[in-house]
Amino acid sequence: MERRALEEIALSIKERLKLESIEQFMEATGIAKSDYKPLEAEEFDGLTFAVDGSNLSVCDWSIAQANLIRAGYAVYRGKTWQRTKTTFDRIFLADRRSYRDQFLPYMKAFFGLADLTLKETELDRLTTYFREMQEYIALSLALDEAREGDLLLYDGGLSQWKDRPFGRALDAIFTRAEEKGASILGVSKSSSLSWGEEISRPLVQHAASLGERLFPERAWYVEIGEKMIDPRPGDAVKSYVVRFHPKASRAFRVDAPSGDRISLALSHAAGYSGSAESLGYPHALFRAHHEMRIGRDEGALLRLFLMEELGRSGLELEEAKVSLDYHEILDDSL
Amino acid sequence: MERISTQSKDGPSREDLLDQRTVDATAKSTHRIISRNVREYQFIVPYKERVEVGEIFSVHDIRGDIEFLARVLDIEHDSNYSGNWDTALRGVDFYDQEQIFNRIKAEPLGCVEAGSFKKARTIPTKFSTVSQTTGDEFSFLRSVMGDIEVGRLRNGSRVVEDIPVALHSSAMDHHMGVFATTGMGKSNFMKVFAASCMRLAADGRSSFGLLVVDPHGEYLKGAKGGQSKGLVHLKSYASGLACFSTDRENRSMPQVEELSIAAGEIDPGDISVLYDWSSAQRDALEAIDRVFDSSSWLDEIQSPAGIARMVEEGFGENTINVISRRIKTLLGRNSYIQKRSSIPNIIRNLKEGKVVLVDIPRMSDRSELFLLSIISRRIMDEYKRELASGEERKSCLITIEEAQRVLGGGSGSISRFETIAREGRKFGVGLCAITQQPKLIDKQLLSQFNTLVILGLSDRNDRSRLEESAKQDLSSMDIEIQTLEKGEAIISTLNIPFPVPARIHRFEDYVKTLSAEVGGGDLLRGRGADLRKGGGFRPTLD
Repeated sequence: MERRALEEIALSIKERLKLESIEQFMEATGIAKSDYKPLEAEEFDGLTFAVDGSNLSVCDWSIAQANLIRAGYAVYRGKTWQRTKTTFDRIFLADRRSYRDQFLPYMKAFFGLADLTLKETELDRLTTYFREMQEYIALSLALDEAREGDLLLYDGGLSQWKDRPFGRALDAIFTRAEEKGASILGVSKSSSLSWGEEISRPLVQHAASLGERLFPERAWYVEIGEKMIDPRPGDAVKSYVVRFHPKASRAFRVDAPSGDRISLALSHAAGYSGSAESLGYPHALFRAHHEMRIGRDEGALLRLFLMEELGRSGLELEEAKVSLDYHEILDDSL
Repeated sequence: MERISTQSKDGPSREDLLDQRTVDATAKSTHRIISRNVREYQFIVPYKERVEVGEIFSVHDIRGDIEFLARVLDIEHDSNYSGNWDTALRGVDFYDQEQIFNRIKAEPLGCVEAGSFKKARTIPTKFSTVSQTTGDEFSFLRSVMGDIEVGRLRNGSRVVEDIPVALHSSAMDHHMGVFATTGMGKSNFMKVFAASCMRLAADGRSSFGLLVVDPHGEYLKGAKGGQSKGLVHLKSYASGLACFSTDRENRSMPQVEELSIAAGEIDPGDISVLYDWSSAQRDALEAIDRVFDSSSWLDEIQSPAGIARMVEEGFGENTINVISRRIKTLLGRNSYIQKRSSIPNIIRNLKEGKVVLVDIPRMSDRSELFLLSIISRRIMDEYKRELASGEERKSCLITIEEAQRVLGGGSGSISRFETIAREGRKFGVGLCAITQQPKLIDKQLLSQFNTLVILGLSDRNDRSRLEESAKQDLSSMDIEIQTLEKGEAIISTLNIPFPVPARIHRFEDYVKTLSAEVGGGDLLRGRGADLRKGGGFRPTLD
């Protein structure tokens, strides 16, 4: 690529990422100084549950994809790790025609739901949905263990859940959490929330820049649900941008279904976001991320085992290989 | 193992649908072998746990039938987290302490299987547990230790009281080297070694005689002005010691004989070890045997007639004058050269397996070498002769302080000791070379030394020389040798399957222990009383 083309791209990226004018940001989004609330870190006696999941492609036969999916949660009391529970750790075979057979037993067993229909456009992301379902199951199982005052952290966004395939499942979880008096926060490691009209600008990062200017060396949170941002979070949960630690360089988008206890829940999360390992990010989520992560080596080993099983099942290796997505052949050593 | 999620018409239970498992804080993830190969084991320990280089760990193989021993070579900070979490001020506030650990790199020493120790030809099963080796697990070492106790087994800085470290008498004619920089305990080691040899001799269990030539005057009574003790303080085993001294005060002790060398015992070769001679002077020295009678050459070469005779033989007058002058100086400075000689008595005591201490305080470097050269030659001649005659006698170990002076691999002056190093074993004569600078000892000669006692060497070249020459692999122990504390040693010897870390006894404490063995160690009681009746320690003069 020519240097000049790179320069143009770089300028274009800079135009999006760099916050040139605080005033313009405040005017365009409607976020004002008064929206920022100081966040006081608070330790508490309860447990923190951190839920995460991951998936890794094992083999792709185009008509069906085998993915290793892992979900579970880490449990902390204060700064002390208690345990990590893996709730699901299996290969999911994504097939557009038979997906109901794979999803419904879980929906029924864990959420009492007997039907699930995905739109045609959603069928391309079966694996993502299956992983999401397993994460919600993990969240539900963590909630089974939780007591009043405990904190449940979910890795990911929780807004707009009502329109999503697992809306009713989440509804059941949120209701149960409310009844138990436990708080749930969805913390997103990445957020596509943006602002601006002609081009998309990162909302979380720019809200963080403003927060740093308004409250340097302090933790804070700002509610963004009613602001002019894209996409607009639904009204089923409250959405925030949060800096969990005064010295953190990042802020995160946080969704919370239980608006009444949000201040306390955020304070509790901030109370344990000061670890050296992941300053400014709730430490329990850091641990859950590491422990649920699937390494590439693990995927490669599983792929070999799967091929071995296919051979035992009577399918010749060549038959299995010739049906693979050709990317698999080009990019791998099979 | 993951299973492919499948449909179930009967409505599977939650348990069937999930694959739940829990790891909690009680699960032990440290102290387990995590890698690596037959040459190196790696395991992790909590970051706050103290582990030392040189410490020995036991690996309890999961299979249960074998136990591996491994010595710590290196310790590294490590964690399961990458990134820069451990830098800057915030690095002190970490939560997951069990994720942060020290990675221990250890060298396999061998394995114990069915009670016997052998080299490990396999690796421990992955995740086999690891623990600090205790006295019990070292018990197999008792059966491989020898009879000359010098200290206790050391595991890191910890002394394993149950396991004595003892050299084998049978290895002594295979030569021994004692290496240490100043102040690391060479003299203490030698005194402890000599004390154990005295004990064996007194008990009639000795299989070799030990010759110690002490130019510093510290072996007999201990260092002057200090609190240290000498070999005479080990009264319980006094019968195992014979002392000869040039010092007037020491000679007045009842157990010490005056040291003397008869002029007739000196041969031109003994003179040649003392100076750097020119080739003409060396030629003249070699011709002396031919020109003069061996019993009178020393007098003749100093006389005008003798000098003239050598000139007649074609040697330059200046050359002969230099030789003559140097001999005069030598004889003038060494009053121990007399008509009678202690050497037969020295050799007799050595043959009886005793410790023979030749105490020559304040003697010059050159005179010491001269004396040592004469005694060594006589010993070698005697042992050679007796081997030929088939006479029964004990082996002999000759100690040389500052051994780099005579084992440096040069020519002429040092060849006598080199000959002992190369050939002495055949005749039952071994060398105990003591030096601060093993790098100056000839590599080939050093490779003849089968017992190495290393008490701490800070010079890398010294360590490298030993690593190159040792019979056992010391290359991995570089850090440990470098970090040895005073009194700590690594001992590599025959019969003991790996280089053993030891804490050498403090001589003064060892004397107390040995004295207590035989009821107080008072010269006037018990064994001591008998000695007194028989003339104490004083050897009988020939």
